[in-house]
Amino acid sequence: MTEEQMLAGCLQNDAASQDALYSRFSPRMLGVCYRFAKNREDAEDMLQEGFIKVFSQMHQYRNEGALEGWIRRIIVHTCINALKKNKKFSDCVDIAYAGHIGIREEAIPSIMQAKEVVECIRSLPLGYRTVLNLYAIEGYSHKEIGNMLDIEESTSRSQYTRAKTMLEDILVKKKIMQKTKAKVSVVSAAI
Amino acid sequence: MESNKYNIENFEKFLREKTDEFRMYPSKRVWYSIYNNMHPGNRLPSVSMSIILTGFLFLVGYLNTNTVNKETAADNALLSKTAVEKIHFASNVQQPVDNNSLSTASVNSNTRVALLPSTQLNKRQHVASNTRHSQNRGTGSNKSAVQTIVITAGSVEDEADQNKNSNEWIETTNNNNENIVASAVVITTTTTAQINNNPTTDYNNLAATNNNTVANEESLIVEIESTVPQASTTLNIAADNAKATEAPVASVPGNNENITATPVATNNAAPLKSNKPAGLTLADKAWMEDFAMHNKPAKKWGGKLSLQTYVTPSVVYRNLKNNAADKPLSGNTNNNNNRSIDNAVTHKPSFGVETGVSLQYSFAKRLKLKAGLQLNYTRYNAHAFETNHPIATSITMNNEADNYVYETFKTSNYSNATGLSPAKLHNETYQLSIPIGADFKLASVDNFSWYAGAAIQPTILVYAKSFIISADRRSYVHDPSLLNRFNLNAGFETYISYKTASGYTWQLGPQYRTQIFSTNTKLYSMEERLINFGFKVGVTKQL
Repeated sequence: MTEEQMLAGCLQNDAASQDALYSRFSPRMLGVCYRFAKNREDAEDMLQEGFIKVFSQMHQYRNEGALEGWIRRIIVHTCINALKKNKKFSDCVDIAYAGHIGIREEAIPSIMQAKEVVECIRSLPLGYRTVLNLYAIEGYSHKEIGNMLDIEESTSRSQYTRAKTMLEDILVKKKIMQKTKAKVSVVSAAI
Repeated sequence: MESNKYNIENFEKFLREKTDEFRMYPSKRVWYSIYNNMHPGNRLPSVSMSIILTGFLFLVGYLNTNTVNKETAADNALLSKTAVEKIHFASNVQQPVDNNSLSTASVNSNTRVALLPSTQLNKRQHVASNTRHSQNRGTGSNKSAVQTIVITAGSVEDEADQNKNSNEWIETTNNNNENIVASAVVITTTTTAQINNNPTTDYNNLAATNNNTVANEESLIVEIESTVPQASTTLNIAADNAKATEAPVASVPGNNENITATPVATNNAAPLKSNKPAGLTLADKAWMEDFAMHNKPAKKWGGKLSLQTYVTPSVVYRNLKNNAADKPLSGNTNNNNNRSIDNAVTHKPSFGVETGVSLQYSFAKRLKLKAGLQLNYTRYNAHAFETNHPIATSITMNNEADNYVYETFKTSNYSNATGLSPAKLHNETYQLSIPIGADFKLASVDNFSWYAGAAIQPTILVYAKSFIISADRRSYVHDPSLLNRFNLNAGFETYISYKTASGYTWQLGPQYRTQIFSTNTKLYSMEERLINFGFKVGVTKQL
């Protein structure tokens, strides 16, 4: 089924088209949710809510840009909204220093790079992780992040800097990255 | 750590690449929930469920609180005419009595009372196959099988020369979660994998082509999971004839690299030396395939179990049904059996309370099963008058076997008509019960949810004080021996729950509870059922 067919079917609330769209994009979108969520179950809840929004708001998609990008934006916003429902979240985002928060490095597997990187990201404190996800991976600006998370732009910047430092440390320790003077080099995981 | 040693752009790019490669396969529950949400007409509707539930409980309540079933009573009266026994008692005169004679009479009348890890890969592939080949799900046939061919390129040094087809090992699983691993399997020369890597690109693009020689029924779903030149390349090839042309090909942005994989018959006779890195076992591979599956909570009940404590203040009403209304009473023409019981007594509702704890298990997303331990206190008041001495009276007894009523002698210190001073008699019970039921979520918005629930409560009477009306409606008799020790309650409730950030869930809502069986035994001709209208306040903590 082509993307156009899927879109047309989804606009008519056709279950087969929705299934096809869901099958195509859900694995990657669940990966997105998983980076934001506390655990897999929460990630699946976010995914569910996100896809319901996707199907409900399909008529708003104007074929401008990739469909995946449009879906991804909805999913990310759904994740942020879900996180914001948790009262503790705002505290986590606003904390200036998260040094007291332990990082579960021992829980990170050193088997596969992509998963390992994701798990490294997930081992960051919640506030750090969220800002890093939004800025470094999803490509939002600090201003946008500030608006999304109801925090100051400067807070977003500082959170990201700390998150990045912390993540680099972890990645180097895991030998996923190497420190070089000029750049970061990726250590391949030969499997 | 000196972060200025890093090239920031590279770092972020690296993160994007890696996270883009990361995929997880959601459980079927997610799709079902989405489907139900998008197509509410095709699911078991919660509204209908609640109506059925409500209707059932009101039916139970109605049947158990209906005061007179006239048809049944009339039939019983006709049938019982031939079986009347006569007991004479001047019941309409209050008089001091000789306790000895009374006890004899009582005895005579009472003589009538005869009475890991490797499974994760399977799960992942199972989900993958379900989403793409749902029509063949569970058949276990070859057509529905998902084959994963993992071609490890670790031994390939030259990026331009990766047209290798003699690589390492094949894992084949079917979607019955049976892992069939054929390690070190040779892919014959008719399988070609062309990998053209461009070191400057970020992504690989995969193209899968069908090989018509493969029983013209196999198509490919090729999914690349790691495309760094030195890293391994994984091709998951799923065979399915049903969606041969529709099977989506996993692709990522970038067209500079192409992998073409064509499946043909493989020769699995000659195992090859594996190029897997030392220490990477098949179990590791399986675990690696979907690490996230390991991230589920370690709790045995998966966080589905919660503990609730609650209290329900209530107003207690009673419903009296005179079973003897249409039954003959032997030889006594002055009896008041036909007199409406509600007009003859002054009963007022009073305060009751239920409190207890219950364990709740989330059986489904909307359904919670619950069981617990509960203490019930019920009370209603009867307005009477104290007398200065015991008076002789009688109560109407019921003989179910022969379908007639008779009277047994009692004494009483409380008059329903006149006396020395007014007295308020508390008909109260202390019950211990085990409520077993279910709560069904009707709707939810944010942290608020609306539930309807029902429970059956087997009950044991711990203590009670009961004053029953005499046959002539003039006195109240205290006779605990006529109380039902075991009973059954049915409760219905609807409530709003609010989940707080601290993990506690509060619930508030009205509750209706009724007794299934009478407070008194069948021996006593009057059936009494207590009805509670309460307001439940509970707090739940997930275990």
